Amino acid sequence: MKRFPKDLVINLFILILSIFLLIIVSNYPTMARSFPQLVLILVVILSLADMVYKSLRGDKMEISQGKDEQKREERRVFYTVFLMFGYMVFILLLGFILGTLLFLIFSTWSLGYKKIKGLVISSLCSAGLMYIIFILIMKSFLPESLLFSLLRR
Amino acid sequence: MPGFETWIDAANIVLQWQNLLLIFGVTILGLIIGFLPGIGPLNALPLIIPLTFGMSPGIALIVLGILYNSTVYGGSISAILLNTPGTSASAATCFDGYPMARKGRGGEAIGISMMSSFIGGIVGLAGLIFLSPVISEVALKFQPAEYFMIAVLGLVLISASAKGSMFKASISGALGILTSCVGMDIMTGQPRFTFGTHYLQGGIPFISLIIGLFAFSEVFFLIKQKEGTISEKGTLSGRIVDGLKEPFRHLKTLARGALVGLGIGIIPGEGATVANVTAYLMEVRASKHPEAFGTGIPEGVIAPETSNNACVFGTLIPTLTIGIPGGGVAAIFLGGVMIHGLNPGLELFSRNKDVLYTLFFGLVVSHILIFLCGTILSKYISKVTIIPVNILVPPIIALGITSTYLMRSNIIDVAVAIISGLIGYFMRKYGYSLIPFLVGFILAPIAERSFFQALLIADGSYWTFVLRPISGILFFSIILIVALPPVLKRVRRR
Repeated sequence: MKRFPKDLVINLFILILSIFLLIIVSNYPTMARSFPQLVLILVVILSLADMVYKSLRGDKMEISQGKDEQKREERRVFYTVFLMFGYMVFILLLGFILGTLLFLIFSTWSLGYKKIKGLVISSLCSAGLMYIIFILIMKSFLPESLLFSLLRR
Repeated sequence: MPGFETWIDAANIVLQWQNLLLIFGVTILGLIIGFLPGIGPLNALPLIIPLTFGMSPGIALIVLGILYNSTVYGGSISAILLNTPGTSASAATCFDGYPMARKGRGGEAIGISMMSSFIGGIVGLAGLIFLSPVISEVALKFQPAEYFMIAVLGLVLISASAKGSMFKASISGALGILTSCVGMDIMTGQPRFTFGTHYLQGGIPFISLIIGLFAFSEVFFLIKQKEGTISEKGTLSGRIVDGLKEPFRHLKTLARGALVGLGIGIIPGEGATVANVTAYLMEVRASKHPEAFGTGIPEGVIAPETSNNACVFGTLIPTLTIGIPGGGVAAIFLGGVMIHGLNPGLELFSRNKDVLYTLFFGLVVSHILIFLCGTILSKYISKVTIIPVNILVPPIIALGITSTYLMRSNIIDVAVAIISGLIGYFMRKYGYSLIPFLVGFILAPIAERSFFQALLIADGSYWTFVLRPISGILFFSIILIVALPPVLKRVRRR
C-alpha cells in the first residue's frame, strides 16, 4: 500500500476543514474569533508545509500489508463501533444489569471466544463486579429498563 | 511550626484503631475507583463528602485527602495495564507505561509507578507541611500574564513529544486546541463551533474525549489482533520488586518530576493533569535519548508519576493557605473544608491548628498505607495483561461506556466517546500522535483566558508578558527552549 497518497488525502481533508472553519469563525465577534482564527491559520500553514515537504522529499513508498488484510481489520473496528452503539441501546432498553450481561456474552462470543463455560463465567463475573461497584458501593443512577417500564404500564 | 505536642495530639487521633480502619477502607476504595477509567477523584469526592458529615473535621478532611491521593495512585495502574488512564492525572503515564506492559513488563512498570508516586507524594507532603506559608506568598503574585506564559510553555513543549513528523505533531496539538474551543467562549459568551446544537455549547466533555481517545482507540487496536493478550509475550516477565528499585537509578528524573509536580500544584488553577503531562514533556526535553520515549522506558513512567502525586499535595497548599483551590479536585476539597465549618487561611493555621495537623499526620500515615496496599494489590491486578484479548475487551468497553454515562447521565456523552475513539484510532494509524492533542486540549483554555485577562489588566499592552518579572523569566525560558536545540546542533556540527 502506498503511504504518501493517503497522507496527501488526510492533509487535504485537514486543509479544507480548516478553511471551512475559518469561514465560520469570521462571523464571530473579534474577541471570540481571534484565538481560534490564529490556530486555524497555523493548521493551514502546517498542513500545506507537510504536503510541500513530502513532495519535495519524494517520500519513499511504504509497503505495509495486504489490502484484503487491512480491509478485514477495518471491518473488525467498525463492527466493534457498531457493538458499542448496540450496548448503548441495550442498556437503555433492557436496563444496566441485563443490558451489560447480554452485551458481554454476545460481544465476547462474536470476538472469537467460543468456550461457553468460560464465556458465561467471565461475563457474569464482569457484570457482577460492575454491579457491586457502580450500584452497591457508589449508589450511581444507571438507566432502568425502558422496555420493562413500558410493559409494567 | 507547631510544637511537638501538636504532632503527638494528631498522632493520638489518627492512630486510633477505628480511624486506622477507616483510612484502610478509604485507601482500598480509592485505589479501585482510581483504577476504573473515567471516574477519578473529581467524581468520587462529591459522592464521599456527604458520608463525612458525622465525622470530626480532622478525620473528614483526611478521608477526602486519602481519596484524592489514592485515586491518582489507582489511575496509574489502569493507565499502565489498559492504556486507559483511570484519572486524567495519569494521562501521560500511558505513553510509556502501556508499551512496557505490551513488552510483558507490566508488573515492573507498576512497581516503578508505585515507588515514584510514593516519593513524589513525600516531596509534596513535605512541601505542604513545611513550605506552605512561604510558597503561598509567591503564588499570590501570579497574575494572568504568568498563567498565560505557563500555558504557552506547555504548548511549546508539545514539540518535544513529537515522534515522527514534526508537522503532524504540531497539527495534532493545534487540533487539540481547536477541540477545546468548542462551546461558549469564556470571555464573550459567544457559542463557537456548536453548529446550532445545544449539547456542544458546554464544550466537548473531557472524560468522554479522554476515554474515547485512549481507551476506545486502544480497544480498536486490540480488536485487530483478535487473539492473544495485552502483554505481547503472553506472560508477565517484569517483577514489581524490580520496578520498586528502578526509580533510584534515575534520581535526576525523580527530582525533576517532584519539583514540577509541586510547583504546578502550588499555582492555583493548575492540577495534577497538567503536572503529569508537563513532567513527561520536560523529561523528553531533558533526555539524551528523546526518541526512546513512547517505546516503554522507565523514565517515561517515573517523571509523570512522581509529578502527579507531588502535585496532589501541592494543590492543597494554596487551598489551605489562601483559600484558592490548586485545581478542580482541590476546589471540591475546599468545599469539604468549608462544609465542616473551617475557614482556610490564617484562621485555619492559628485557631484550628489541631485540625490542620491531624490532617497532615493522617495524610502521611495514609500515604505509606496507599503505597503498601497499592504495591501488594497491583501484583494481582497486573494479571489482567495476560487475559485473552477477546475476554478482556468487552468489559473494558462496558466499563468505559458506563463510566462515561455516569459523568452526567447523558447518553450523548457516550456517543462522543465512541466517535473520539474512532478519531483517535485513525489519528494513531496515520501517525498523528495523541500526546500533543491532549496537551493542546488541556492548556488552550488556560492560555486563551489568561491572555485576554492579562491584556485587559495592562490596558492592551503586550509588554506585560515580558516586563513582569516572573512572566518575563518564563518568556525568556520559552525562547531558550525553542532556540537552544538548533543552535547547539549547529555548534556540535562545527
